[in-house]
Amino acid sequence: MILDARGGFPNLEGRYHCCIIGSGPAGITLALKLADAGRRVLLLEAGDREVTTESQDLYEGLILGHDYFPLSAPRLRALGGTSGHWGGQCMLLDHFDFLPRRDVPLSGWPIRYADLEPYQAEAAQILQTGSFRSQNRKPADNTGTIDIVDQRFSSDRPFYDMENNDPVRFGIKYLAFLKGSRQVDLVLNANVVGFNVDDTTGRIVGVRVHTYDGQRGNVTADCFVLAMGALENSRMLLHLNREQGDRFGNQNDMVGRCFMEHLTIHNNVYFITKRLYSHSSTWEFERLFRRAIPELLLSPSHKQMLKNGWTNTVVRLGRLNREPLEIDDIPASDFIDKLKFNEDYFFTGRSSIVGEQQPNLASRILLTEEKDRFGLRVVGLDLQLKPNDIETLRSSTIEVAKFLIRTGLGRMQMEPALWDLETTEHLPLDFFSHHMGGARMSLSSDTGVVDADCKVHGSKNLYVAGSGVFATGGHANPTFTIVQLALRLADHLIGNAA
Amino acid sequence: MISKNNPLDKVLEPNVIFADGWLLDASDFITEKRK
Repeated sequence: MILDARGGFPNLEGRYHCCIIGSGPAGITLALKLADAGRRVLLLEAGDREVTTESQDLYEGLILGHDYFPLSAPRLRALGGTSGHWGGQCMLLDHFDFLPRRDVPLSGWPIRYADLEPYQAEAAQILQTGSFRSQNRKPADNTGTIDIVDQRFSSDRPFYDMENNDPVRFGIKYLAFLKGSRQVDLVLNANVVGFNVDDTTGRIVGVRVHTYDGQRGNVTADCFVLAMGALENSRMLLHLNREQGDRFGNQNDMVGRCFMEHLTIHNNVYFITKRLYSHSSTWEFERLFRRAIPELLLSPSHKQMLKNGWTNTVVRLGRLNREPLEIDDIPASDFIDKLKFNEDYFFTGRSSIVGEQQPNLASRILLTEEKDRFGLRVVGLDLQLKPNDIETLRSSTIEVAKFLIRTGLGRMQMEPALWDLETTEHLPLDFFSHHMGGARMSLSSDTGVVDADCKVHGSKNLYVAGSGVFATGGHANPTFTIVQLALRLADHLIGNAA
Repeated sequence: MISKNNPLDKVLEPNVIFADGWLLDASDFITEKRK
């Protein structure tokens, strides 16, 4: 059933097993599975069915560190959350993303790839990718330095094509379910502004809700799940801990820390030699490039990452065109004359490097002194990068260039500022709007905020869903993992956990 | 005139250099004089 808090918070009757705060991919996935198991769910959405100015404006925040998008731009505060404008690319984290790495401080999850693997098929169904059938990676040649990332769903796509496919918009796709469900009550325009805590037991007994027209409400449930996106989850936890003496995951000042993004630099053109005949060693790659929709992904191998202390990166090679190199791509007029090959003979395409940011305590989500219309402190983002983050982008690009040279496949451009290892302010860095960390998963409160079941350290019944719990981010787009984690959390709440 | 090679030769041990925005191999450059 869908209710609306506009005009007054509705009178909710009966007992809810779970109150989920936020109706994005994590919140709706959780609601679907809990409802399927017969649990009664209250789903609170701060926005309306579609984006409204008064809701979206509450996503404004302050940029305190590295230059970044305005904080209301990369996320949507409405039914379906940020899935309302996502590109739809679905990828899985690598097996080794979950493991500790000697040169990456705070790396290693308390769960493994195998803990999420049972949820692949269900996640694929929810995200409509078709089933996942692939081996993730395979060596690109016999040197063991470069892998082809070969993630393929039964739709015969390596991942969603942003141009040719229509990603799942959770607010639209699952609207009929939410309308018709007898297990799920969705309340729109319900802004959670705080928690009620039983001081004796430490249990969260309720949440306080404000409406846009000044009405107030209280909600009770057996357990509560923050599914508001990484920035808002940390913001709400920071507010809770200010009231409650840092006993909810912030025993060691970890709430909001280790915020991570996927870094990218566009390296512009690459080319592949034209004569790709079946008798040539490059024929196999021609086949791969032709199948690569929309991109062919080449990534330094796990062995190479560990040897060099790099994080997980991937060079994305866009589809090849038959056009020769454009003159603008050859800055010096006599440059090509000095080379042994000719610019007229090649396929060309565009490439970019996407890299994992190391967990970094200094990169964090904060509360500022400014307050919003409900009296809550406005969020601040102090995004900080480490020199190793940039070095990894540079070295991984060169590693892929070496592969192209070694095999005779082609050559590629590189952003000059990256070659020169300019300071981050002078690099043309871009970000994917993938907000990870801030409520990271860890064995104890020393290094994180939630445990392996996504329960907030020190809490009895407060959980976090979404990419805020990521301990590390790999290079994969996070939504598929977000859905896997939400399904696993649902199993835990139902009591089905392995 | 030097004939330009295509497909590219394989280079077993690349020596990557950065030239005019390109990651090339040191052997990519013509060292002989043009006739």
